[in-house]
Amino acid sequence: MKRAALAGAAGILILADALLLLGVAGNRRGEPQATLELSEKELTLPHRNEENSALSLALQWRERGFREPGSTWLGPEKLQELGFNPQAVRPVSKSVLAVMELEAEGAEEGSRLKAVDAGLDRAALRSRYPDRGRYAIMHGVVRAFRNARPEPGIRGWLTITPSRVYVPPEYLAVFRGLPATNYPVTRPRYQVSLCFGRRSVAWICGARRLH
Amino acid sequence: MASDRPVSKQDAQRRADRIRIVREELERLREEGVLELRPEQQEQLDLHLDATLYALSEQFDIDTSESQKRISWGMRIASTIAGLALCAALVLFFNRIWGALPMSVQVGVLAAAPLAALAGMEFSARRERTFYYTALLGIVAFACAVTNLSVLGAMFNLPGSPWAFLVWAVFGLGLAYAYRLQLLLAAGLVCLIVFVATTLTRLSGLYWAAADSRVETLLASGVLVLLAPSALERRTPDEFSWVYRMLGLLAVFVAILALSLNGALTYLPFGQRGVEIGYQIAGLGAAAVTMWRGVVRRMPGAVNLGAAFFALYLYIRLFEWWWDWMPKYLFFFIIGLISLSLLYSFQRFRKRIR
Repeated sequence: MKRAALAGAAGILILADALLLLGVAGNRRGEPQATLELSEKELTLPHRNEENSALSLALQWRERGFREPGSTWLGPEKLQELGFNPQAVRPVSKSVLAVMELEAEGAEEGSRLKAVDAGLDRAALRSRYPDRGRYAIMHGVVRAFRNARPEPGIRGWLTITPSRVYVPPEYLAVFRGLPATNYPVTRPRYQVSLCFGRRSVAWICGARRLH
Repeated sequence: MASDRPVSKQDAQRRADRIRIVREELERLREEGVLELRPEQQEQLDLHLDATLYALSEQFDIDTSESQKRISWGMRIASTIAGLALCAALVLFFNRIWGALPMSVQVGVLAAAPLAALAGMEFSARRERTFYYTALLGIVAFACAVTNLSVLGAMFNLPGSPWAFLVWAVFGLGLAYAYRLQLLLAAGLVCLIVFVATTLTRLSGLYWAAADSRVETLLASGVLVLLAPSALERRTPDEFSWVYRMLGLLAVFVAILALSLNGALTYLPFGQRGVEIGYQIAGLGAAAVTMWRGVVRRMPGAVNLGAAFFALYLYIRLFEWWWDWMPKYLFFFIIGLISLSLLYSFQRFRKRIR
């Protein structure tokens, strides 16, 4: 009994680590599915302290049409396509794949990264947005809820998971000595290449200082 | 007589406690002149009881006096605090040096840490009967296992997964059963409750981490944990049953409390107000049944938990019904009267079951 319990405890942890690392290797196998050249506008530097030498950058993005009142692309039709029941009364959350577009330089103040579409089929989304230097597919969660204004009906709210990107040790020198990001970011201090793999999981595949 | 032989440390401790009480009672009877054993009888009894205590102490390392018991509690608390402090020290140390390690070393450290702590547990368990150091290393091993998957997930930017909770649950339960450690059993069961609740949420078509938006999944996982000792009767040590019971009941009561306060958190196809009223009634009923079953089956923990949630459900109802329109002195006066009537009911119930 004791031996079986210990073997089970150690075995499941080894198995979980092995599956996780195989999944990571599978995601990064071959050419990246997309590579976005992001700056400090899209990946901001958090406050740091000397107790923590690791670093993760926070992903900043916005939604298509976010400045137009009452406008959202996550309306009843898109939500129905994502498997939501438009008649549902209570809030519902579902896992989705979100299409993120990197706008051309200087198009907007603040983050140039915006969510433009969502779906459940990675291949279908990629065929709709084939430019791999401009569109990336990321994991997200859509929460649908019923609201009364401005128009009664079901609306969606997207979040991207995870919302932070880990900086591998080989790129830490790029960020050394830099204080936390100050908003608005008018003069980005670094550029980061964010690669996306077969399973839509991102990793930093390049970074450099701009000034 | 063979059936009276203790099979666990808890059994042995109970037997030792009974021996101590018998001795105290015999001494009192002698002082009151009710019963005085002949010297040879007294000597024979002392020899037998001392030999029994010695055998129990040798085999199970139990406490044979009240002072030893108090010291043991102190040692347990010290070992838990030491375990938590060591975990904090390890995490802060690795936070500090993490950036200086290459990625492959980071992965190696994360993978090896829980297995090293597990090996340390086995090493320690072979050298002590009390398991204080084994329990301490168990806390470290469990914290390392949680850190392992959490940090690997963060390092490779992976979206969260409910499967991590299953891994932690199996790891915690494995260590708990291997060394009979209740704290690790509780940690493993909490992870199991979260895994079952989030998996049911995912199977119902929702995002797994939205389990808090459909709380019946927590209710179902609580019931599962509550019933587990009956299904695993022969494999569950006696001292583990109450951990299952208390955590299962806690999950059930918290789920009912959330649903009674916010009926939107349900899968049921009824109106929000109807759901809230239904769960308010169910909560009071479940708490009352728990108290009754706890009394009948001599489970003081279940009685206390049932009573605490019965009072909580009741006072929340009274607050919602009366607080806004009733003068505050009258509200507290009525609360006082209801508490007194509950006290009176408990007293009568206690007399009936004596």
